Amino acid sequence: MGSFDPYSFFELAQILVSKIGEEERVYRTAIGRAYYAAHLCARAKVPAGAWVGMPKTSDEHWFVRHVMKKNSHPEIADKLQTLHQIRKNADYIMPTPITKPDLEGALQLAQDLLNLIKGV
Amino acid sequence: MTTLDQTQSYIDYYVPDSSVLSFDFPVQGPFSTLLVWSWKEPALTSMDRLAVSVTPLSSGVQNFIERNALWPALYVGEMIRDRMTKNHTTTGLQFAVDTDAESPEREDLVLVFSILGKEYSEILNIWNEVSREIHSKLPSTVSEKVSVRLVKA
Repeated sequence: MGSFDPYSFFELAQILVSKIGEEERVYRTAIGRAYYAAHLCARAKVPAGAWVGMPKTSDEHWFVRHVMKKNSHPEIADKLQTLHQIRKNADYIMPTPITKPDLEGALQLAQDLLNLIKGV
Repeated sequence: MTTLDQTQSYIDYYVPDSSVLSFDFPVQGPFSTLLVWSWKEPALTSMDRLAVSVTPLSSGVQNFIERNALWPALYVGEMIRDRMTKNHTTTGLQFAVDTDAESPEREDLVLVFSILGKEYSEILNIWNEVSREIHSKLPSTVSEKVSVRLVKA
């Protein structure tokens, strides 16, 4: 059995919306899956040796962005940061509604990121 | 900090080393704050030692910039905003601080450009160029604490 392909999280996000329907709980879940598809695909591009340099105070999400900046891909770092923020809003900020346009923007951003990451 | 008359069309600023520079960009929209810092950065030319913001900054953002010495981001952001405004690409720039609920110690200064009259797919392409340009002009210690975001106006 091969390694799990995180891109399938992005496909799952699309399936959730098309099969379960237009509900806020689906939007919030789909945004989370779309973010993790992009984050994990970017993480797979981080050279194994680079993890040795990860500061103890930083988290993996920040470190992946940091490596992308260091390797001349600041646009990937910036877009990941934005999608990360959207994902955190979807997961933690309940009083602020997550709407269909929010989801559509997040999915478009995730798709763009996945295309950029493929070229790294 | 100086409060400007909103009808003023150009900014004159007294530079501490006794010269006066006139910045040739129009003052538009509602704002009340002009922040000026002198700073030294070997990677930039001597003319770039002045950081000027005509964008309103909250006290939290000002403190964050000062605490982390992020003035170059302010300067570079304003420079790109000015050019994008001339090209009718952006309606403005905001500075914000992103906090991370999962890593409370992790905060970033975010440069948010509002893009006018473009499809999101176009915005994503412009974003690539703006990100690359801004980060290439920033010292790495500043770049680490800065991110660029483009949103639909």
